[in-house]
Amino acid sequence: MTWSIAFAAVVVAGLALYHGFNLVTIALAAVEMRRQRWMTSHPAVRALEEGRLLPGVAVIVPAYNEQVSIVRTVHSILRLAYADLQVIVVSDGSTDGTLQALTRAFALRPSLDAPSGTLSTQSVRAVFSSAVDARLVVVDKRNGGKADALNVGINIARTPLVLAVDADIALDRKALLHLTMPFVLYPDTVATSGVIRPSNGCVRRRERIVRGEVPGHLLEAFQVLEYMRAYGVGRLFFNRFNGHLIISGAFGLFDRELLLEIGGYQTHAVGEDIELVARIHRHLVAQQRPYRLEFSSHALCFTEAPHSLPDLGKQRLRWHQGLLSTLRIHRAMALNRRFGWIGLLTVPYFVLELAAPALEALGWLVLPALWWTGALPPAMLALFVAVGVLMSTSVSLAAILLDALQFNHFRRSIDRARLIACALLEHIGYRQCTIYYRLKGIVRYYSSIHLKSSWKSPTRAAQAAP
Amino acid sequence: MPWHPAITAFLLLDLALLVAIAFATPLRRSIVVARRRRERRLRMRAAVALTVPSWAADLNAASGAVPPPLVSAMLWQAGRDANEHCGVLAELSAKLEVAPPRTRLIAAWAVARIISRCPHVATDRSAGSSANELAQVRALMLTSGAGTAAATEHLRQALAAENPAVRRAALRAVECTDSSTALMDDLERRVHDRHPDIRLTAARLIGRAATDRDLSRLLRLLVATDAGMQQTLLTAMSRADQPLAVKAIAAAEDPSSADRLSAIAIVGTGSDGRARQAIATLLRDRDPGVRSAAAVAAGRTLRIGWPMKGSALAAADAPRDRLVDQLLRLVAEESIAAVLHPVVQALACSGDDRAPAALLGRISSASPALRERLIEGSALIAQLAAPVARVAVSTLVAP
Repeated sequence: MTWSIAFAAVVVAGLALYHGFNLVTIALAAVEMRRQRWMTSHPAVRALEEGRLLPGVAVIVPAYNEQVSIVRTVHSILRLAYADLQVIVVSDGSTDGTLQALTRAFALRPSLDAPSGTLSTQSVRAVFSSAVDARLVVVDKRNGGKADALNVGINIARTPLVLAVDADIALDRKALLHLTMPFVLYPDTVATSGVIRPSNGCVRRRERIVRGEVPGHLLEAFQVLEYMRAYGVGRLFFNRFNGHLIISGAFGLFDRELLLEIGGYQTHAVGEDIELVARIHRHLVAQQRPYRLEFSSHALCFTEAPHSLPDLGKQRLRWHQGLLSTLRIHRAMALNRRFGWIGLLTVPYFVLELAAPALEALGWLVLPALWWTGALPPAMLALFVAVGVLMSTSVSLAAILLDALQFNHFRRSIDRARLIACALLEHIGYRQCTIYYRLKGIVRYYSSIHLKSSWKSPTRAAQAAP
Repeated sequence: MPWHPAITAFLLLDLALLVAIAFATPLRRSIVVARRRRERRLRMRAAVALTVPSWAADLNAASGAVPPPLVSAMLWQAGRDANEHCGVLAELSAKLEVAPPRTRLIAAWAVARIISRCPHVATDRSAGSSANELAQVRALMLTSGAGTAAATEHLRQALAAENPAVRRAALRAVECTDSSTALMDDLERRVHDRHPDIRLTAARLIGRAATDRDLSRLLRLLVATDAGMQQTLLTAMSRADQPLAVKAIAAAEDPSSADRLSAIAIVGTGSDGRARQAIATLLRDRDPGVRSAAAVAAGRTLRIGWPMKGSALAAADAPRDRLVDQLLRLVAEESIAAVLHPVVQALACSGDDRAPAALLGRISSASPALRERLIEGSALIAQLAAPVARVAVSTLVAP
């Protein structure tokens, strides 16, 4: 009896620590939100947007068989409000009509541009420039994976900053302005990231997202809430103390010179984006260089969230394996005072995040089993479940509130009601699904069934529609 | 289930959050209104503070006693009243380097306003330190109306500054304000800068802005600089839409000219009919060095003129290009590898329907290195060509 309660207490304490930490992050996220607000609202910032002070940015779009979405994505990027912009599409040996679609849409012609970077990559077959828009460069290369394609883009880029994006994203018109602002304000900035939201359900006009709506499809709506929690609370919190470990590969701005210095993306890494950030930390700490990784909560990027459970499973499996792999490679950072807050707080937090599915699974399986065998009193079981559910619901509700106060992205009451419903309903089925996929990722990782750095290829249902 | 205080606490928290979400829109509106009211109040205080004649001293003192929002508001007001108080540029510029980011940004805006509204202040060198120079150059970029004579003079001085960061910022400002033409001499001096990135940027700006009058300057630069710099210059020239290539023809065809090879390279940056004809003539020159340079120039000019997908290959009955005729003749007859390699590259970009057959026809008698280039060239044509041409290439390869 005693051991079973002790075991249950350990599981619940782990979960309470995880959710409790998330609750604490909300308060600090709110403070950070306030700090970031002036970056968009002050008239001097608006003057800066109109001027030419902001550094040049090359947007690298690695693409593999993206015939359906690539032209739309490039149009969306070329329409950004940014003076010094270069768009580099890297076709990673696409076997569909990606290159032909681009040739048709942008009148490509062979270019005199040649890679100037020093990263070793698969061979480049040809470089094209556009007769329609001089800012566009298209590279055709042998297949080598997403990380390799990004490295080619870094080599080709001529600008001090490079932005890595996915081929299925849509950017807010001012996303780049907000993303580059920290580089102007804080000279030691080496990378920035912005907010990623699912584009599912959003209203588009001329390749632009004009209004957010929570999708009617329950699976997609759950993911909207998840993204809101991660970016509306998590990233803002880590920004308070320069503690970012994740800058998404779908939307991350980097200092090009630094990327060349550290050897670019690792082509064999499972989660090349997390691994890159961990390597940046290690490199700069080793060199004792002051640096800053910033998060701009006003830089918005929309990506398509998976529409089906198998696609969601693949995505979560990849993410979790990426996190596990990076934490394993860079385990020396954990609880290491040399790395400051990153070592003392961020890495331990992500270790807890890694263990959270196992703890939750134990909670869902072992506690009822203990109750069934009579080892755990029913009142205790009910208490554990109630507190766990209420705590995580609080985090979701706080994320919805912060989002409403800061962005007002979902203006209709029905959308907020749907999000609240999702916060309550995700405990029945959805959370268990994601726990299963994340655990599967861990098991597969240790059974050496690693996913290589590869291309995600979920069904592009929304984009396939005319 | 026993009612536990933890459950009560979290239930209350969730309920409070639900209520806050329900009233989020009016809450957000009231926050925005309160913020605007606070800013207005600050601006009024700043305006009052700045009516005192010694306001510059106040600004300096402000970094200590006055709260940061008021400092920002004062700077903002200083920018708005730029025409009256422009003598304090140095004080403002100094603030750019030491103040917190928000203050720095607003101070930069104020400096930019003063420079654009009171050009005579921009040439005031009393500011002295290179940190201030950098701040002022950066501030220049904030305003699109910085193309005044005074601003140009300001940039000229910044281009000659000792601090490389100031020179870099000045080059960027020149690019942003399109003032390269007025600063050509200064840019030429920067082509020989100690720092490679400054050299390359200067070359790119010269290449883009060069006109007929700058031909001798370009010939001089092409001779005096390394291969990377030449490539940058020529690429920039090929992107600019100017008749410089036509002007360079005479120098390219003059056998006695020392700058002949440079002139041929410039001819290759144009896609004009006369330029193509001149290159075709030069491809028959006795000197292999000239033939090689002409082949490189042919490749460059054909790349500029590359048509949209497959259109040229499909037009079999179109009048034949003399330049391509010469390239086809050379690919069949030329024996010197240094000439053949650029010829193959040029043909690959020609888009001519005879090119694949000519390239693949040479494979049997080619060295391994040349064979690789011949296949690469054919592949490039096949990749961009219309399906009909791709079929033609595959027919040739099949046997």
